[in-house]
Amino acid sequence: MASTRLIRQLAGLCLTLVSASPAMAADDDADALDSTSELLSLSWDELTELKVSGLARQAQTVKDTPAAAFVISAEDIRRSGATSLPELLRMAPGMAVARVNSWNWGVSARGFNDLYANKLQVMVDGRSIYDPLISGVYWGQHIPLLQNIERIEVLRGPSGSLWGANAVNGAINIVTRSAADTEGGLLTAGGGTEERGFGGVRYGQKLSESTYLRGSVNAVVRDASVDMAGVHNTHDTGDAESANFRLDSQLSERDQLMLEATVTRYRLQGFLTGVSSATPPYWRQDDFGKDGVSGSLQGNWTHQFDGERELRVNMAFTQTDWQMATNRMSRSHYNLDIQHSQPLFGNHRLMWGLNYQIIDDRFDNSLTLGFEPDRFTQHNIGLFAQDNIELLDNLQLTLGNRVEHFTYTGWETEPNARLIWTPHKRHRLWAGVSRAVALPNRAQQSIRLFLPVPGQQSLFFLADANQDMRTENVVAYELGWRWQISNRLDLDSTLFYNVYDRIQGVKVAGFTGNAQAPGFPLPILDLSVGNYRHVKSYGLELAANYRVSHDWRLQASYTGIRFDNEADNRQPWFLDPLAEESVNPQHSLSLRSMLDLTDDIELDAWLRYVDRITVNQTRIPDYVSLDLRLGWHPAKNLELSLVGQNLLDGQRPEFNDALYIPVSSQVQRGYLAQISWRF
Amino acid sequence: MRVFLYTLLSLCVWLSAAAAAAAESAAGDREFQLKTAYLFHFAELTRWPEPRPIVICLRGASPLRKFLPVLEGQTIDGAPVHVAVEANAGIGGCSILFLAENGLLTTDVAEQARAGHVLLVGDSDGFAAAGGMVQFSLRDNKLKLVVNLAPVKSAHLTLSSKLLRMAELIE
Repeated sequence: MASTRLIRQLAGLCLTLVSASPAMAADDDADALDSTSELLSLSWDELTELKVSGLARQAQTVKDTPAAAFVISAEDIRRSGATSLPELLRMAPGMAVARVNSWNWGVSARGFNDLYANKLQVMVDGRSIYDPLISGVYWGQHIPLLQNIERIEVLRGPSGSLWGANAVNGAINIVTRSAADTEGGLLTAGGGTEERGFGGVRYGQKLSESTYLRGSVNAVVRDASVDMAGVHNTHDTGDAESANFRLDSQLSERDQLMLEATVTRYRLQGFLTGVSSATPPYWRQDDFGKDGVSGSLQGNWTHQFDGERELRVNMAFTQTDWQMATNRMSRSHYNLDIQHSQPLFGNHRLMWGLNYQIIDDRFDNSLTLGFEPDRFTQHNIGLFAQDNIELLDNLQLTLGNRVEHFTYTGWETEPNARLIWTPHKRHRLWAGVSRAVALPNRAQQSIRLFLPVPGQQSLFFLADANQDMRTENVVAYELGWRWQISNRLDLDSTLFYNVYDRIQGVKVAGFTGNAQAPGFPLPILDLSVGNYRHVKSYGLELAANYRVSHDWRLQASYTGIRFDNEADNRQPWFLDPLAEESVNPQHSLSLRSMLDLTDDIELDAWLRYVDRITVNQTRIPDYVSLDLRLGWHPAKNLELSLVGQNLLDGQRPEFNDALYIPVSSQVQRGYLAQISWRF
Repeated sequence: MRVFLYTLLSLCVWLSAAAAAAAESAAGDREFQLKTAYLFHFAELTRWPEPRPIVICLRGASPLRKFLPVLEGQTIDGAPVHVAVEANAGIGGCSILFLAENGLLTTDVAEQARAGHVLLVGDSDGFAAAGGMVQFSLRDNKLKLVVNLAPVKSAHLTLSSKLLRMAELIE
């Protein structure tokens, strides 16, 4: 009985193969010609970046991804005139990027934007750079040499089954150039009114036939922003320096090794948080800047077995040390990631892997800011499996799940199912349902924050952590359609509906009579953080790419998002329980034009519109922003450029964080000049 | 029963192998698809002494023969591109001539190219050093260009700085 069934299944499988194969062969030539004519619409710069073998070009991989994906290329980066990572992310639909001050940004995908946005996983070459203290990224502390970046992959929507907890609303992977691609020298330097000075040196060398090494150092000095009145500066100047080494080696035909080391030092100034004392003046505003060093080492080994089987091992170690007037931290973070993929019978491709992380930290507490316990070690373990099933020639199903065990919350599961259908070579439709979780972080578990209530001088609050904080989670439904209208024009659209549960909220628990701060003479509000809220969101994301000619490319993206949440107003909320509705712009638009005026002169423009928001009771009006860049190549290895940023306003606010950065800042118009020389 | 099962199984394996082989050849094609796109750009990044129709010619056995026809009828600044892959056609009518082997780069061909303002392109080792004008070379999985400026100049051709920026020059 069983064998009859087996035969029937096998026969069915073979039939599919037999019927598919001749069709494939016939299509092959037509496809080859078709994909050649697709290449013809690329610009010269795009074309010369393409690889000869290996994965198909990025646009093609993105096209076949059953998820909302967007790629920022090296050319996009060079021609944007941007000088920091978060500014680049403004190109991608679905991303919310708002500058708080010189060194701080709120960056999030699909809403929930905040200085401490906790629903976005960010990686550099596969190593997570989000900070386990806040489950967010301190963007000012990451200053990679932008010329080292090959591309930035932006994935919106949950991808917890691949990238683990915190890839709730998206995952960003910053892919740096292989050392083999950066032989020789590069010197770049620039300066201007806001980006006071920045620059770097890179040198790469071939060590043997199959091994390359490069090193780079770079630095940036940034001017302060201006206060809300537009009169005084907000003292948020600072500087950061970074060194990076990368070694790439083809150990054998089947083994590939990558080793990377990065050290970054920063001194970010600014009025951050007031220190409380039990005696007058109780609090003061001063330069509470952050001084820190972080270093990481990572190794990535890939082994190719027979029969398209592949094993990937990634190990990373990151050490972070910083100090502020209020606090000091030292943390070691170890990460081991193993991933194996292999074709199974017929049309299945199985990928499985495991992840193990140790996070060991230690804090020096003060009256204002403390963490209890002050020393803690987390052990997090994850196990995942994903099956890619080719149901039909043009229909692919992906089923995946990850189970993880976290020190704080125990077991979690992050399943996901996705389907992509290609009814015609110019159309791709995909759909996905997935669940993902955001972990309570070290801060939510153990913080003790004692500060004046924003805007008040005689009322204080004490926020105590919640040991019972559980994971926030989302169930997301997504639909996408990619339409290649012609060889020159393509359109990518996504609809999503997200249901979030157990979202963090902050309530006023009452006045505890200063039991927690004995001797303190002023009233203290007791705050409690918990999984109090439910939120729903839905939205539309559009991206269009139009290659007008070889010399002119246009790119547009649009994001529309709405939130549906209810809050019980009888509760004494401390922070706005409907924050998502007001903090996230309902509409945002980005339009870029990249034009070659002559073979040596480039003129690039970037126009953005962001809808109005209200953050911490501060109204931030909608704005239109324009950046212009003029690039000139006077000689073969030389590039000069002039950039004007935020040209339409003298200054404008983009975000606010009254709780931790008591002085609100505005982003100013800026001009800068840059030179790049290859040798 | 068992024999039938094994036959079916081996058939399946064989078919899968055939499919894999087809996929492999498609990966090799990519190099020549890229070269085709490069040739299209060369037509745009080269300046001829006087305006002329763009004719891209091929001599010798190269996988490029399969892809080059894609360029037929494409336009550059409104002017149509033509492709000539027949071996007997004269060199005089070509604006770009791709030579599949260094052996095809005879003194006669070089002289005709110089006099007729033809851009000579090849992809075999040492093509540029042997007097060719633009040579493709494969390095680190990307296409690189080697340009020999002397024959380019003597054919009264001007290559755009955009092209020269990414090329290795032989002076």
